[in-house]
Amino acid sequence: MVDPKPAAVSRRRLLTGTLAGGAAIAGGGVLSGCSTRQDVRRRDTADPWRQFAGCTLNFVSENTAPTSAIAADAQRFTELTGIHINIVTLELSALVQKVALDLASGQSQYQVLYADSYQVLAPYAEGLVDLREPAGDPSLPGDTSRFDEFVPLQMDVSGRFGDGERVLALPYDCATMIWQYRKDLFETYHDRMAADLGFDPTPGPQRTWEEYFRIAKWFNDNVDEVAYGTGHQAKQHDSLMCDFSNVLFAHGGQYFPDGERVGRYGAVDPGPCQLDSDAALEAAEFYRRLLSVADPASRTWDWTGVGAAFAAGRVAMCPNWHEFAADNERALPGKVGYAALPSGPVKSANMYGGAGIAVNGNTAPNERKAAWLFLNWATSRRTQLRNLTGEVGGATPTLSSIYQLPEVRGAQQRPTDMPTMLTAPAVRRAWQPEYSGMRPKIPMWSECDTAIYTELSRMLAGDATSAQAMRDTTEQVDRIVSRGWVAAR
Amino acid sequence: MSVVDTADSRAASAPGGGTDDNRGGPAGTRGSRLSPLERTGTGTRVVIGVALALALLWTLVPLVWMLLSSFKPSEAINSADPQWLFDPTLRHYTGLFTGGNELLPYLWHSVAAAGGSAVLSVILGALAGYGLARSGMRGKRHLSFWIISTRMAPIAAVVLPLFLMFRQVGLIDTVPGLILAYLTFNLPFAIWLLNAFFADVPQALEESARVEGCTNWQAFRYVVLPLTKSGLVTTFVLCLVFAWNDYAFALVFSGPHSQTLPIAASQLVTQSGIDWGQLCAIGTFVVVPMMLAGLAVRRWLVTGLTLGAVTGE
Repeated sequence: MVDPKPAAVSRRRLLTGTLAGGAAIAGGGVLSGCSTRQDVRRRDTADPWRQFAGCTLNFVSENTAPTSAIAADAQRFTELTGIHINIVTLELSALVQKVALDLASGQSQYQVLYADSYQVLAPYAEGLVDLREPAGDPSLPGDTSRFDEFVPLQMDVSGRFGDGERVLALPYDCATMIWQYRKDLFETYHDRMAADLGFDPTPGPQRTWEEYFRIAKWFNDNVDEVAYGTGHQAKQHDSLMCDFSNVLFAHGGQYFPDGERVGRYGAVDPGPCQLDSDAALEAAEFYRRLLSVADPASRTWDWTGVGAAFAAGRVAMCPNWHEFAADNERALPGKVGYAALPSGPVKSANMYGGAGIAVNGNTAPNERKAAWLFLNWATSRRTQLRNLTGEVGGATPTLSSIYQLPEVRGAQQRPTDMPTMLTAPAVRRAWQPEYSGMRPKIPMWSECDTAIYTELSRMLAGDATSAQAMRDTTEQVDRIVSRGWVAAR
Repeated sequence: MSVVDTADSRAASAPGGGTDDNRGGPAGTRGSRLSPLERTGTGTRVVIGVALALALLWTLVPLVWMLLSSFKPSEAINSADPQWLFDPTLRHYTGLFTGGNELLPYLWHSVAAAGGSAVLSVILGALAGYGLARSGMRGKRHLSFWIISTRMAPIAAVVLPLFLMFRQVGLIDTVPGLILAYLTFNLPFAIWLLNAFFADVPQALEESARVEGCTNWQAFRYVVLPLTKSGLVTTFVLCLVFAWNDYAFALVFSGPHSQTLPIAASQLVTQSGIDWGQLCAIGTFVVVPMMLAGLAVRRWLVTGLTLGAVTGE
């Protein structure tokens, strides 16, 4: 006789099976062992570069020009030190997530970190190694005088946080916003423009934003070679905040009191938001007006979008990161000019967006020293020059001295095999304090940034007046900042 | 469709067979054999055709555009006006396999992690799904729902605890770690889906097998599994696709030694622009294997996705 329910699995058997399975999995976990962190072995050698030969370092970076160049050149570092370097490139938000997980879990899967000033350096400053420690170690190459070799603004913005003393990163890339314009069109129409507008339209910081607006409008009305005079990175995105900030700083507006200090060194408690000041309201209203004559597609573009539109010949000029020069030269060889951005009532402000390279504070002592060797090599004069001139080149140097080299000075004129260097006069001016623009370096900047560009986007869409947008942003930023920040360590 | 229904329809279509219902129709009528679509009016058919065509366009245009772009020179991709005519180039594809960031390791990690996860999900899902289907325990439906509800949890809710556990046992940046991570979302799905398939198999067949001397395991192995082949294949393919396309888990749990294709694609978003040519090439690389896998098993996939409602043949 067949059991009416022979195939039925009883609850007891099911639970027993579940328990057995769970135990097996748990046992497997135990057997695989709790991973104990081991420091790398230090070798007894006279060559300070080869003390940690045989070890492996992991470097997580955004996909930037210097990282591409270094990845192509990493074998040289291995030959010099015997250290193998794994380079993982990620887009910025993914990188920030990785770094946060690594630091928060007390681990150092990645010993070397790309330290974006606003999303890594500011929020995780306490989790990074103060580089004065390895730099001051006589057993290691390099010393603290190295810090003075970098462009001062870059050293402060990309390398320090808070007190201005600790050095948490070395300047690694130095994206800077400048005025990019169709030199050929400006030359062709120069006299007509000058006659119509009543001023010399040649781009540079001697121009005002109001004049920029009028030039853009003139192109709209008089020139067929381009669809619009100006294009902007005004998508509801970080790019919109960057684009607006140039105008804000030029008008004397600031995000927080003592904005220069908060931008250069950073702060955990920056004080009350200043976006409801008269200067900020004036800047917002001007920006709204400027975008009304810009290519309407600007509201869908980030820096990549406006870069592509400019290279495609759609707009006559745009504010954009200097690193797009290589694309411009490929698409419009010899036709593009570069200058510092126009001035407002107060100054010409050119947003600086560089980042540093740092050592994870969770590293073991020898691992930390090995990571310092990599930092030292990656930012050395020889490596930076190779990154600039090499096949994968295009990275902009962060060491002041490189700009004095004859071959680099020569590359600033056409014809050139270093297109990024065509922007050198403009960006070097932009790195002077009187021309620089720095967003606030605060741990909660990412959240503030979202509030800023969201409200700006509402303003551009006509859903809020410029004054309303600034007041709403001020409220939100104050609320975000008032929550404070607990450093990860 | 029940067995009886099937028998009736076969009888109706047999030569000389048929029922009285057929006599009133036109010569050689196939009234009882008309599909629902054939029985609808012309207008409805046109509307359905247009809707299907739009759905097809919606699905295919992005894929075709991606495929075309992967063969376009960079200038044509970045042009302000869409370029339909261009000199095709393989540069974007060759670029994926040369230089310091070549694609093969990513491809291997994807194949191993997604494949391993799909195989394990089907094996474990079949055992658990069968157990659930045949279990007489109280609250079985609640247990089934709880299993599938774990898949509803947002990734953010599970990623940190998993990361800490994986870190503790050394599974971060390993392919086995990725396989386990993918199991967290594939296994509940596999159990839930296969449970439905096993529940559809009449218990009488297993009873017959046991009468013939089979053990429970043999009845499962030789009777139930072959009958649910379409379910197993469907589950495998879907689990494979889910794992193959995963970005969020791979981002957290992978590292230099285990990064997958979606991570490789994200690396083409750079600070100074997006390499659209290579991105489209890598996109094609990611999409095509899964499309081929879907096409290869489409017969079982259709049957499986409709849980046997149609034969798919």
